[in-house]
Amino acid sequence: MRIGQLSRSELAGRLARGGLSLATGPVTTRIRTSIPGVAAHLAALYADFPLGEADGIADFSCQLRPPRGVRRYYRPQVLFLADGRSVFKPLAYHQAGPMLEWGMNWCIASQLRDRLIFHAAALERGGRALLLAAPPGSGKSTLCAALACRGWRLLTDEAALVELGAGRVSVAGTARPVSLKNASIEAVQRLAPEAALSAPCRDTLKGTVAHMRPPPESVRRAQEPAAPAWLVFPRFVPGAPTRLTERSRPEAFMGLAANAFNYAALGRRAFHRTADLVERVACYDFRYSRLEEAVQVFDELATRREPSAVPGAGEPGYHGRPHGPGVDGAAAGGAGERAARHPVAPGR
Amino acid sequence: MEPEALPGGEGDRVLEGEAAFLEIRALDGGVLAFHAGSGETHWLEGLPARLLWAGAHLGGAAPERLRERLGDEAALAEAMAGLRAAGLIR
Repeated sequence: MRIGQLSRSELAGRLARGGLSLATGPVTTRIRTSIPGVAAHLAALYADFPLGEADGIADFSCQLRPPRGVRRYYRPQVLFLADGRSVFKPLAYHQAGPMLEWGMNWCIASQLRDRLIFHAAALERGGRALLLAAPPGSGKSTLCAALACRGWRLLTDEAALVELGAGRVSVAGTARPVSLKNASIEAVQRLAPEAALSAPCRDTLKGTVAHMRPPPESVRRAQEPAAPAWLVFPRFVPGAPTRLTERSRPEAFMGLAANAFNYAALGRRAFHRTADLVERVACYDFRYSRLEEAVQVFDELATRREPSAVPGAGEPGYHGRPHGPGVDGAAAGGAGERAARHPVAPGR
Repeated sequence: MEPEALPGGEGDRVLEGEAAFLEIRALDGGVLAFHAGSGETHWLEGLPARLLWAGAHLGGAAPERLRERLGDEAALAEAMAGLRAAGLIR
């Protein structure tokens, strides 16, 4: 059964009573609340998502409720609790919908330990996955929303999940709504007037935010991972020409590891899995300011049949033998020259 | 850690010394080294990368073998200095 098949009163009733089990790809979240804004948020953005088993075990258990005391009535607020523990400062009551999204993001980023989690958007086309790894404010979600509106299957706009087991490397996501803020809201509306966006929520910590409902096809296939093919580090630069440039794999590794939520917690497993992934993809930096041009670049990329992986990557016995003048050849520089660059320290 | 201490028994991706336990992977001419003690990952190029790679692959990595790989004594010393500067060995 899907969320959209529940009447508004049934949805509100389930949320208020034992909680509603929401299945988003490989992650199930139980949500309990009596706040009407959360029910409205779910009805508008999650209609295509299936309900989890009513008495099944959820990965996360969340609750949104007003704080006790005077703030129930005077400038009312809302709290987000994960497993009964408040994890954020309370927000204004009208921000309950976005707070649910941020809370679910927090649960994945800080609690999931059976997968490697990158702060990256991920989309799929033709069976191949594109990862857009970047810190907040880089235009990652805007680009992700644009591509999802133009035929790419949305895996995630926030947290790309990579299995830790040996063997085939695959990227999965929850296919949840895409978070847009400030000018990116209008930019996506201009590019894709048919996109379903929630009403803008103003005066949040991130400014004005809105969420884009994920395409139904992406939600239907949310359990389906994809093999990574491209790793791109996007950056929105006002007025900049659209430019896709190759990035070396070691540099891409360092950039991706720096954008992992749980690299330090997983240690050597994260190190090797990140290397497994980077061996298999073509790596790029991408600067853009015009969304339409940006989409064209990625559409063109998807039609290329490029030899993206390191030769032999993933084959039995492959040990990533170094090649190139820096390692095997005679043209190596001095020891001090680029001996160690930007160590990735445990911090997340 | 002196070159004599580079063992080969842990597998060809592992280099163990008195102060360091490193796992390494090579990508496109660079070597990535994961330092288990600190949890840091380093990206090395040039001679230090070649030293790590050679040490991990030569099984025991006697100084003369490393010298063969790296060219000469000066190159070996330079590579060791690079690894020390990176905090990967003492």
